[in-house]
Amino acid sequence: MDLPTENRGGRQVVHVDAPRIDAAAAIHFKDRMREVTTSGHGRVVLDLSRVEFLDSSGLGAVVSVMKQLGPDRRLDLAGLTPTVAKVFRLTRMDSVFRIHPDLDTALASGSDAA
Amino acid sequence: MAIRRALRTLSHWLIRQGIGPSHRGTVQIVIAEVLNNVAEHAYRGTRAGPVTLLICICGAGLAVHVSDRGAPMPGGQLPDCSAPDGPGAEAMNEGGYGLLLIRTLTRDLCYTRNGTCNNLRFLLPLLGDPRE
Repeated sequence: MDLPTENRGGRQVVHVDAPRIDAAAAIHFKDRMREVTTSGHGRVVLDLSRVEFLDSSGLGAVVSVMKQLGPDRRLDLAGLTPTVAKVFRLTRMDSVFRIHPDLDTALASGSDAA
Repeated sequence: MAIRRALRTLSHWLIRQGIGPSHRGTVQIVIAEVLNNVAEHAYRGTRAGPVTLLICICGAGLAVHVSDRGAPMPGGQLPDCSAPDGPGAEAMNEGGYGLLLIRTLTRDLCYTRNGTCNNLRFLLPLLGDPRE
C-alpha cells in the first residue's frame, strides 16, 4: 500500500493511495502509517479521497493509528467517500475524529489545540 | 482476498439489478463484515472453508442467508454489541464494530446452528430510490 506523504502548512499529509482498507489490508496500513509518521511532527491529515471502501478492520486500524500518534499529534481525516463516511457515522466515530470534506478544508482549518 | 472477490462479484450482480452506488455501499459493508466474521471466528485456526451466500431481492431490500461449516457461535447465539458511549480514545476498542454495523444496517437478524452448519439470515432494507 502506497502512503505518499508531504508537509503542508506545518502538517503532515498522508495520502492513502489504495481503494480499500479492509481486513486484508488493515495490518499493512497500520504498519506503514507507523513508518511514515515516525519522523514527522505536528498534526497529521489522512487523505482518504481515493479509498472507496473501509470495513471494521480498517476502522480499527485508523483508531489504532490515532492512539499511536498520541495526544500531541492530532489525526484529522479528509475526503471521505460516501461508503467510508457511512462506516464512520454508523459507529459514531465521526464524533471522535475531526472529519473534513476535502484536503483544502482540512489544511485551512485553524491550528488550534492539538 | 477471497472475500474481496466475492464482494466484487456481488457488486457486479447488484449493478445488473439496477441497485445504485449508495445502496451497493451499504450491502458491501454488511456482507464484508459477515464474511470477515466467518473467516475470523467460525474458521479461526483452521484451513479456509466454504461459505455459501444466498441473496435475493425481496421487496425494498435484500433477503440474505449466509452459511458456513465452521465452529459454532460461542453460547449458540450472536454476541451483544453497542456503540462506544462517547468520544475518548483511551476507552475505544479497536474491534467490535463489525457486529455493530451488521446490527445497525439489517433487520430480523437470526442465527441458527444446524448440525455442522452455521446459518445467518437477515433482511437488508434498501430504502428510497433503488438507483441511489
